[in-house]
Amino acid sequence: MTTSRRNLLSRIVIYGILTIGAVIVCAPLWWMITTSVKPLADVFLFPPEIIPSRFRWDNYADVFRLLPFGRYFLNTLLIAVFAVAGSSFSSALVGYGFAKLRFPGSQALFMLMLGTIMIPYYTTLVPQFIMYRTFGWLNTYLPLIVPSFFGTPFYIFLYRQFFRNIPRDYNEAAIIDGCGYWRTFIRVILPMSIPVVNVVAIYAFNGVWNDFLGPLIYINSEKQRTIQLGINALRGLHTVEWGLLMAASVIALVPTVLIFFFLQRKMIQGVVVSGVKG
Amino acid sequence: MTAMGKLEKREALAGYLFILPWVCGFLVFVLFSLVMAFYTSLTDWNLLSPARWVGFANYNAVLHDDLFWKSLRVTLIYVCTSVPLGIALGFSMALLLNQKVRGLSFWRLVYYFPAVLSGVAVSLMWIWVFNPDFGIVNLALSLFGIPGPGWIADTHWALPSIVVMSLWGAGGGMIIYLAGLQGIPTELYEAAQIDGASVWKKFSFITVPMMTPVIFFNLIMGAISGFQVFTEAYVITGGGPDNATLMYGLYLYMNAFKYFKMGYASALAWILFLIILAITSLLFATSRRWVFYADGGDRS
Repeated sequence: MTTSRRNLLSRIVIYGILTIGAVIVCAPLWWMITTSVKPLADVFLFPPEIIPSRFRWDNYADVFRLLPFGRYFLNTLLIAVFAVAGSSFSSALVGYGFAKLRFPGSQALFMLMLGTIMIPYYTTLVPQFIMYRTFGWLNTYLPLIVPSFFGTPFYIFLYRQFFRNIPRDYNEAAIIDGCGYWRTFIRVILPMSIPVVNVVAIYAFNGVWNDFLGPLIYINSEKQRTIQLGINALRGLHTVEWGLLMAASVIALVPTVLIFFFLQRKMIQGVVVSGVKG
Repeated sequence: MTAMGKLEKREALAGYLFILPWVCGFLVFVLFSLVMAFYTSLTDWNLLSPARWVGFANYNAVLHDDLFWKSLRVTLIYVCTSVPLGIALGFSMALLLNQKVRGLSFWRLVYYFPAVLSGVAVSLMWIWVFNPDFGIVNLALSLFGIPGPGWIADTHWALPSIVVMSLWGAGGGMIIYLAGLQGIPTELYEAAQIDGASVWKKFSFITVPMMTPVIFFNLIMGAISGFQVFTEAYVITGGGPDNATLMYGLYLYMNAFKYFKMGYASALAWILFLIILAITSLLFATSRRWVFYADGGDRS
């Protein structure tokens, strides 16, 4: 009797904490979304309205009217397509090399690769800026795309963890059958690895979509702005029009949110592979 | 040199070819860039006139720069609060969700969701959430009769505000801890049960030790990324008020791309690299004492 009562009590406490936590987690998003449909006059009501009494959907239309956000969307998408394809494929190549092929120094090189995760982005920022400037790549998307074709340590690591679990027999059978290493990789290994390719592609997409520092440094022309630069510019023009700014923020988050809701299982798998088995 | 068979040679050659993209990237984007950053740090260069050799003058100037020390202090406080608090919060949430709760995938979804959101949009959202007069945080506090502070507009509260923001994403770690908890062999708990161990004993002698590798992984990654926070500081506070949120990355960015002091920024960049190297080495050194590897130390 007492144990079941204690059990009930602990259940109530657990669900209570979970519910309060969920409310806290959702509150900022709720605030952003409701503000995004409020007319300007209602944004500065005191006390603030948690549930809007009037709706102004035109905030969303205004975002596109004030700045060419459609264009910013396409710009970012263009970078994303190349950068995602580049880093997914090049990281897979390198991951396969480290996971399945034996060559002298492979362990040491792999550790070196992991070690480079410790090097801050900032440390190589100035030389890279100067390099791209010398190439005449400023104000082009090349600095945001080209580096992704050289493999990304974290994605290489994810691929390697996955490839290592593919039995060697697949590899060896294909090679004995006269498939070269390249064809084995393309025809046998890669098709078996769609789950991890998806995970890497999702991460890479989110990374490109939300990158702010890169575009901030390399892109100056208004036409070439990415979505992040676009919202930042909108904020510079309309500092206090929070309905508008929140509408723009919601728009910018839409792709990430859609990907999350459709592919969250895969994303969670990826986190688990990288974090637990690391 | 041991003679390699023909097949082994072919395999080794293929191996080098497969990792070639990374090797090229490493040589250009890491090795060459590190050397160039160091060389630049020994010069005075504003991009317009030719670089002038100044030896270690930039490093000397950095050490006498109040803003450098301020930004280092701000960043260290940020890392030393947001990383441990994030781990504690994520771990606690994972423990809760591991209590055979109903609707696990729903709760997991809700808590994990914020971790995938980032960028300028999220930073703008927080400016509005933390607005002292019209924001939801102070509205919520006022319901309990607490007068809220000025948050991002207040020198004392600006940095804690950014820490709170970072904790909003603690669900990312939670996912990892939850998977780790579910991977702990149940035999361990059963054996402890037979020995009559209390809940607390089971937690501190089984759960925590089994989770230390995962915690360690999150600690390292959290510290490395914590030192590189940029968007939040740039968008939300611009480093203010009164440099209270002058994150290291922001200060470096300003030196390089606002004042065009490329040499000085490169000196800052190398110092940051050395700091991160020192901190991760320190963490690895202490890990021998507290991180427990069930498989006897194979850390691959």
